[in-house]
Amino acid sequence: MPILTAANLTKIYGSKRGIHHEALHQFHLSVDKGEFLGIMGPSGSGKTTLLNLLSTIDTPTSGAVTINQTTVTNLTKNKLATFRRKETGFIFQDYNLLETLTVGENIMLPLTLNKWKVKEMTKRLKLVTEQLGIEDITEKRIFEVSGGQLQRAAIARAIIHDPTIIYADEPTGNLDSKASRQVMESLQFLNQEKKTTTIMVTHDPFAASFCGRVIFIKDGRMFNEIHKGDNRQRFFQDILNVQSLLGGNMDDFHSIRFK
Amino acid sequence: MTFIQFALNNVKRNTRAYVSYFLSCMFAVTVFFMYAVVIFHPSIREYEFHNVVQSGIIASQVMIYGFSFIFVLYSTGTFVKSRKKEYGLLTTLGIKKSQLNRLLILENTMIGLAAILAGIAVGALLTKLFLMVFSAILGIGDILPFHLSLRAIGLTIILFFVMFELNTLAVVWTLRTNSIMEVFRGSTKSNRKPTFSWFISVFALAAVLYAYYLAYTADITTIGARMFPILAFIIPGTYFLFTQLSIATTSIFKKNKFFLYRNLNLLTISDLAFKLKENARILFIVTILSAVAFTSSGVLFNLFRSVEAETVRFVPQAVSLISNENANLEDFKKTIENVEAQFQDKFIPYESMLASTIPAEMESNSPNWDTTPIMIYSYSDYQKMMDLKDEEKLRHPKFSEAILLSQDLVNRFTAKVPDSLTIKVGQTNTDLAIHREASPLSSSISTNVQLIVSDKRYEQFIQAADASSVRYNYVMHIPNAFDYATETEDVLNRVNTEIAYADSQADFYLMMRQTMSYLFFFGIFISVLFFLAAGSILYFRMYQDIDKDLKHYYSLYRIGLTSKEMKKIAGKQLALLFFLPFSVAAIHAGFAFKALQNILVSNVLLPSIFVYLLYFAVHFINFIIIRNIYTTKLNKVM
Ligand SMILES: Nc1ncnc2c1ncn2[C@@H]1O[C@H](COP(=O)(O)OP(=O)(O)O)[C@@H](O)[C@H]1O
Ligand SMILES: [Mg+2]
Repeated sequence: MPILTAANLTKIYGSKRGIHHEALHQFHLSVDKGEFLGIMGPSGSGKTTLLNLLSTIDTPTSGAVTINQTTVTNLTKNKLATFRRKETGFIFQDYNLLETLTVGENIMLPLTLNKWKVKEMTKRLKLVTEQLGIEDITEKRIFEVSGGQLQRAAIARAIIHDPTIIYADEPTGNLDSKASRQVMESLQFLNQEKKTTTIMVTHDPFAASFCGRVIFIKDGRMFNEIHKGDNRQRFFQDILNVQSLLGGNMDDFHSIRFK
Repeated sequence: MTFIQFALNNVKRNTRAYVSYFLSCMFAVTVFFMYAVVIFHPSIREYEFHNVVQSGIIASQVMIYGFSFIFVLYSTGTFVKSRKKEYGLLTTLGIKKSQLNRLLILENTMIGLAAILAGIAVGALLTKLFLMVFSAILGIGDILPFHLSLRAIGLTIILFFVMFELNTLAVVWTLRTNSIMEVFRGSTKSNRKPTFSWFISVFALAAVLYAYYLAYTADITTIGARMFPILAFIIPGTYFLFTQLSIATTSIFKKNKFFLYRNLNLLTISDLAFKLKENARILFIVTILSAVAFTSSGVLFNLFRSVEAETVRFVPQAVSLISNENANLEDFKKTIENVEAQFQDKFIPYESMLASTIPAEMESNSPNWDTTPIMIYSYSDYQKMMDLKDEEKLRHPKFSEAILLSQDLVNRFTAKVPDSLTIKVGQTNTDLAIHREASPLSSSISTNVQLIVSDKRYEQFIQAADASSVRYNYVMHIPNAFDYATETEDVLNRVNTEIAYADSQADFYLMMRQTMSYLFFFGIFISVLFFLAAGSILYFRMYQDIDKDLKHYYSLYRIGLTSKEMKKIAGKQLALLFFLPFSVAAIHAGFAFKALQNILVSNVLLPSIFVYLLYFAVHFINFIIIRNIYTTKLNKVM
């Protein structure tokens, strides 16, 4: 049963000078409960755009996104925000952690927003940080810890409130290979043990090989889709093959843009 | 592309950073220029102020220049900091150090010149506006016609050009001392955990409280000596209050997890701790500026309003005419008739009486009271003078007693009167027991000490005195005397000084009012400037920070903070940054008003409240506007 469906998603960015750019063209997608989906494609192909639409951070020019039977594209901004904080977890390439808070406070942030009891919060914090092996750094500040630890803290924040879906945009983009592996293993563990539905954008074939299914997009359209069989090494090869077919620059410079 | 073109393009592209920097420079020029226009105004320059006032006016100008300097230096600092990455990039692209320096100097000079010209234009406009509003609201009439002196313009251009160039050199010099790596890292490493010291916090609080104590207990004899210590405690105290105690307070909040983790508190408080730390200096400057604004306008408004009460205090009798040493009684009586006739002509109601008085001298072992000249009155004349004003009388002195009257204010500065004094009239010396009281009589040209003796004793003194030395005091009481001040002064000016010496409330009142209205004008002018400065500094600060804040709020938006919550957090923080300095400044000023109350006779409460309300209204409107700008920007994130 799909937990998330996207129908006819189109996103057109307009600039002040009247130049329009269609970043996503009539896109269809369906994600099953408990799936680990990877989204790949050349730089500028519309991966982040798609993820932002699926995760309700951005609204499509046309088309609909349905999560858990709720058509989120019809919700008001305020409802969307509360929906996001309850039902979804986010992991970003730039970690999206707040510098003014300690690591632990960052992780607990969704719980404070959802008005949990303090006792429950600290219990939950202990649980998730132990799961991710970062229980020693909760009192530290953001600039005192390494990138891999930061990304695992971001994962902890993404899962602490048991969300329906986790969205990740280039979670290993800023990490070295050892930290990448740790982060991907954590995500895989959550997906396998907790059955958390996960949607991840990446340009790293190694990271993508942890997924169950990978879709490829090019110029805002679906290009290809491959599934993992029982052999991860094969899957990794397949990903590389499609990538060379796609061409284009896979290395992505991530940047935040304001509308 | 030539180098100048490159520098120009640079300015064009970095609009946000440049605009904010340009505006703050322009603003500093505007404030200075407005003040310069006023002090170089012909009618101000020709007016003969008291020396103290004159130096006060110059001191204010120096202070404004000093503040401008600090403000511009600070703005340049943040401006360069926000662009360090760009400089780093240019350096790695192979720009030579000398080229980079030239770029910086060129840029800053262009901005500086533009800021000077724009500042002068805006300053002229605002001065005109200020003069119009000032005379309209207070109805003092055209206190100053609008006039731009070349000296003001010249001084402003020279001083600020020098300031901008010095500033640029300072920046170039600091960039030189930093390594390229540091330049590259730019402003990203500022987010250290806010720390504080309990020792300094407690010291700051103690310093402020001690200054409050000094102000609270000051009176007219001590205020002069206390002024400097009060400033010496309050200024550093306030500084550390913001840099230390504010962080100490948020740390205490942070210790209470149950409070901290409730709803939005975590975000609000942690952000606030950083904002307080980053903005501590700004908050300090804003507080001092506002405190100066409140205090000077409040004090001068109060002084302005208390002119009548102070006049009555210093000159208790409406008019007193004392016959001159060499004048004979006939001439004196003629003069009186003349004065009365003129009063009747002008329909000024009055009551009057004639008292006789003997000038004498006191002798005492106490050197403070030896050879003091006095005027002796009989108790019945004293009674009549009090009846004229409808005032309460002191009890009748016994034959062996005398009541020594001197001004309340004088009493506080002079030594205690001995229990008994020797009164020397003519050739005879008489010892009398002395009671000292505050004088209800105006002082005369020869002395401000009067002696009231029993009628019998007065008779005795008359006998002893040289007949020609007895003098006469013609006393008038004028109901609503201040309404006829100009006319009264007019009449008395025509009195022949060979015959009589005139002393009136009218004279004192008119002189006080003239001085006060100029002082009041200056007070309000400086206050408005300082207050404007305080508000704008807050505005520039917000403007400079907004990109960082937007990024911060975008992070929160992504994980599901609603726009309502965001506005709530931002609103609370902005409100605190706005009203914290305002409140501290208001409390500072409150103690200054208390000190003023200790000096003045009239009540300062209502005028002070009026001043507070006025400032609050302006500040509040300012806050609402800035908050709206801020939240509109926030909305764009979502
Ligand atoms: N906010 C925006 N405004 C205008 N154009 C945008 C915006 N965001 C992305 N784009 C454009 O849309 C296209 C897809 O961008 P994005 O989804 O970020 O690609 P990817 O994440 O695959 O690299 C790019 O050409 C990009 O320039
Ligand atoms: Mg992207």
